Amino acid sequence: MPVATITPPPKPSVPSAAGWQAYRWTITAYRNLGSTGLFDDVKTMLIDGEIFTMVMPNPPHDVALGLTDSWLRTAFTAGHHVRNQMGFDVGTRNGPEPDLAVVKGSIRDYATRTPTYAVLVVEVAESSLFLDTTTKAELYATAGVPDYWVIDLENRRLLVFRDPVPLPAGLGATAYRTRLTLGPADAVAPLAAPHAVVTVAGLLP
Amino acid sequence: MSSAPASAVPHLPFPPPGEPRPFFWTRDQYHRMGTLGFFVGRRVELVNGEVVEMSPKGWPHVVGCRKTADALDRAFAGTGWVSRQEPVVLLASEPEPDVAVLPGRFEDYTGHPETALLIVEVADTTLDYDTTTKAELYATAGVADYWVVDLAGRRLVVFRDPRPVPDGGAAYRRKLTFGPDDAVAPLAAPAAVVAVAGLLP
Repeated sequence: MPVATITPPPKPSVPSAAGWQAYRWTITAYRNLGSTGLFDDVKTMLIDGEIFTMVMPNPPHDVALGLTDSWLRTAFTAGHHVRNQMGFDVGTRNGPEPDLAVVKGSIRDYATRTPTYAVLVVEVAESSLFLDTTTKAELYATAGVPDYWVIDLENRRLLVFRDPVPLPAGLGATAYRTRLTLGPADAVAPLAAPHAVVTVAGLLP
Repeated sequence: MSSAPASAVPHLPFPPPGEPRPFFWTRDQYHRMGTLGFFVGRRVELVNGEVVEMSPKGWPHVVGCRKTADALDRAFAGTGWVSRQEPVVLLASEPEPDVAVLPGRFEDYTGHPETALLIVEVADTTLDYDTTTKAELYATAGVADYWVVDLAGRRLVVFRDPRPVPDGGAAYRRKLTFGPDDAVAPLAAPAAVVAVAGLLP
């Protein structure tokens, strides 16, 4: 049953009045750090200029990622390409490193740049459900991604976020106005490929 | 008193333990990236695995630091030497306290100090941070005497008696507040008399 909610408003990302702040990185500087080998042992992402480490991939995550990747490549065959854990930038200080993103054009179009828009983003949430449904949802909404899915492995369901709109003035952020919670028996299709219907169970380990 | 303390490795009660957490910088990584030029032109220190950018110095801050350093120089003559915004290695962190009194003679050191007789932070815009996060850090590192010069409030806050707490880490058991008419003796220089007014702009 579709439930319309607004994702929780994010914390404002302005320097605190405390007179100090965590050192913030631009995407470029963050990628330069990565090329020094600093992140060789960890999986990282950049959120609002701050570097986070994520749990390394494990079998359930890999299976859901693999199943969804395979299915997306059948759903989008022309005019889009599927990116698996590749760069995706939002603004100058966010490299959320989405698990899957469907981007217009061919992969060669991004030989020298990183996409900043996708028609669909999918995150597989194994231990990152909180971040994926709050901070990351806000990020992808701000990027205007019209269709954002979170595969909730622990609860075996698919969360679908749609209809990104700016929040009331002053918050400087965007949220998804529509949120659907789908169980394993439910069917879903990407907004950008409405013919490609899949059952949620087909994306779960 | 300082808030819920943290051990040297960050302990985050929320979000849940499996969630993404801030990248934890070791001192070695911090120095290596610094050497590669990543922090050029920025004033940073390493606190509890986090690279923190220091706020720009206002003139009152400059005056408070200079007066405090001079007063402590006199108080500790012969027993210790005074550093100003230079690294002190404490556990996995490398803060750069506004003023620190280090034991012995400067000439005998071959690297950044790893203990301090007294640490002082001069708080212009950083009072919250200095009386919580920094207090936790210094308590956990066993710094016996930690002072915060509160410029806006024109007072000196003294933290003493660091004790372990159940969560891991430590907290100062005693917190004393002194006004401009008071005088304080550092724990490690009990015969010295440091007038609070002499630390304030």
